[in-house]
Amino acid sequence: MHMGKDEDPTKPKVKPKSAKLLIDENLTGFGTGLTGVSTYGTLLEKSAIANSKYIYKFGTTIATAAKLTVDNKLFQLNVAKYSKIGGKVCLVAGIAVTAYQVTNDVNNGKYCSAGTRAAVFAVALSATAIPVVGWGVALGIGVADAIWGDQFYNYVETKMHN
Amino acid sequence: MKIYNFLFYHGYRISKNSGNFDDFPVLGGIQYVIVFFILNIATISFVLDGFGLLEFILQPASKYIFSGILIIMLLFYYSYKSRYLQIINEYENKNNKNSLTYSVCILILYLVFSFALLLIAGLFKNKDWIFAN
Repeated sequence: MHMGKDEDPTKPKVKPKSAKLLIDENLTGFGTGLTGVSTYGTLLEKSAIANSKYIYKFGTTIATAAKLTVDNKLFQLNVAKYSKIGGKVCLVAGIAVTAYQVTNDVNNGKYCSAGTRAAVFAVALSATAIPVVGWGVALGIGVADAIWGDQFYNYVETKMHN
Repeated sequence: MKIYNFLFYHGYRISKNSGNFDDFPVLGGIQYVIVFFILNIATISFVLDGFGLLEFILQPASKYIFSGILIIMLLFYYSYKSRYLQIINEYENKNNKNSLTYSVCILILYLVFSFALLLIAGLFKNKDWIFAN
């Protein structure tokens, strides 16, 4: 078999992780990603509604162009409507997956990690109830959780459990 | 199911106040119910597992299917013939003077209570702490 110049034959080969395995290892991040989809849906709808209310100052004189503009607006609104609902279903799915992760931690005997995860999760869930900016706050907590979450929970588990 | 309907009503009130679920109001209540449902199912599973009656059912391979089926089931239950509206009306008629803080307290208390039960059940299943012997 051909071996490149940079490859070290003594070094054990590391098999790349599959997408499924990565999701399994970071369930909270997966849940957060779904929350992000939901947030994007909300923003898309707001943008579409704002666009549909836009009034052209100079008017469109060609009838087909005017129809195209109206059709585009309708299409954008429809996409926004369904993506927003889909996004919210994804949000609930993300919540379910994160709740599962808490039970999984308890199942594996990681009680401190489960407690911390539940606390962070409760704060993020509460944030969705804040009017207007709630989605952004929940997303911020979720993104931070996805990036530093595992490190943080492992730290809590090793520090507090011992 | 009565307790979950009660929690659904309070979750719905909070979601309605935020305005984030105006286009799909049933989801606003379900997002809280599903958390409690999963925690309670896991608690029962841990207890049964602790007694050796049943293996813990939430195996890694089944978690996505389990979550998906649970969401569909709850959506169907609350959306079927607008059942959620009947539930909301029922509780609105009973206690329409309660503040939003009351709803928040109910949900937080139930979350803490469910999580404490889950922890105790987990300790029992894993034979840790006071269950070590």
